Amino acid sequence: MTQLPSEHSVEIQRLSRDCHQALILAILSRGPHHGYQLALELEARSGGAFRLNHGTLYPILHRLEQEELIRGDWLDEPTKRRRKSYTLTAAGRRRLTRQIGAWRDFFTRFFSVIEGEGP
Amino acid sequence: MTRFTRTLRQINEELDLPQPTRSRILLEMAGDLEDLYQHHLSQGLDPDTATRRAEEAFAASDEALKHLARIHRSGAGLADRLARQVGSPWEKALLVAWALAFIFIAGQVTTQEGFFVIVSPFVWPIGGLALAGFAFTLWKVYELVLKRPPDLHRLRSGLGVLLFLAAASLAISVCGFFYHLRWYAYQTYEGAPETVFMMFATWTRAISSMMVIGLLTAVLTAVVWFLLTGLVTRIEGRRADALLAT
Repeated sequence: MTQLPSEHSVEIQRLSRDCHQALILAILSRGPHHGYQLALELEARSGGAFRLNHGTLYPILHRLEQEELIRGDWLDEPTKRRRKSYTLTAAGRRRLTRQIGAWRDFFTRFFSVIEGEGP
Repeated sequence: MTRFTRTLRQINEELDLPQPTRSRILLEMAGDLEDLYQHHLSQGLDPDTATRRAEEAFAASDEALKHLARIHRSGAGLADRLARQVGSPWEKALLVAWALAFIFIAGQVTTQEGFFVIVSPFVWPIGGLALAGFAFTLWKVYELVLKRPPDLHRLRSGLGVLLFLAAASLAISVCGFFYHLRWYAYQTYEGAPETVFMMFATWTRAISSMMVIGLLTAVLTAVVWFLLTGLVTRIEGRRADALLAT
């Protein structure tokens, strides 16, 4: 199996961060979400397996926003307090495509190790 | 929204960030907390349980808040860092006093008779920048003081334009200086010796008026940027206080 460059691969030392990023980008690829909606949808889509505490969620969201992979917009909602909604940017969509490939590759290698396949 | 005041106060105390950034984060969390609470209510939970569940979901560890603070500190733009350099009242007073002294001296120079008799062509684009800065300032003051946009994100939008205008004014002044210097050097070399002194006098008058106007525009624009940034910071602070008020 060929070695992938780091920006196209999942680094085992940053597994948790890369995993959270990929999950958030994937949910945002389905449309804009508020922070709390992201956490709820992640939990619902994973059948309760992936739970993201909001304390953990905001650092990830704000980092992604800073890297311009997602965009945060403050929205006017009548009779409600202002809400911040996140949207996937074109750069975020490209990153997600690369991340999907990287995770596939990661798990192929992972299973080849734990199931004893390969050289 | 008093039911989450305690949670928000706790985050406010632990989040080590300057107030404009902190209030934006708190406002975002406040909106999400309320929505999560409403979601739990819609799932059939009683208000107390819904409040507790929402608070539990937002319980941020010290490490998470430190991480959040690190992200925002590293992402602060040059303008934000610049604005934060002048924090205490005496620093602000010193800055404004310095700007006023400069404006006073520049005013004295520009009102001297004959100041505008020999004018560099570079003065006109600088004048255009000054007018643009003035128009932008009027619009921004109208927006902040009279229109009062509820959107926190919009409060700071466009303020960087003033810094750009200040920098452009300085850049044009410097370009104009070297352009005239080159012109003077060329004329000195080519012209008759008896005209050299007159050309020097013409050059210094043109260049001094241009530099004074250019620097004046840059300083005024930068001071207005600083004052508007302070106003925006106060508005953001007031909104954060209102959010945390019991």
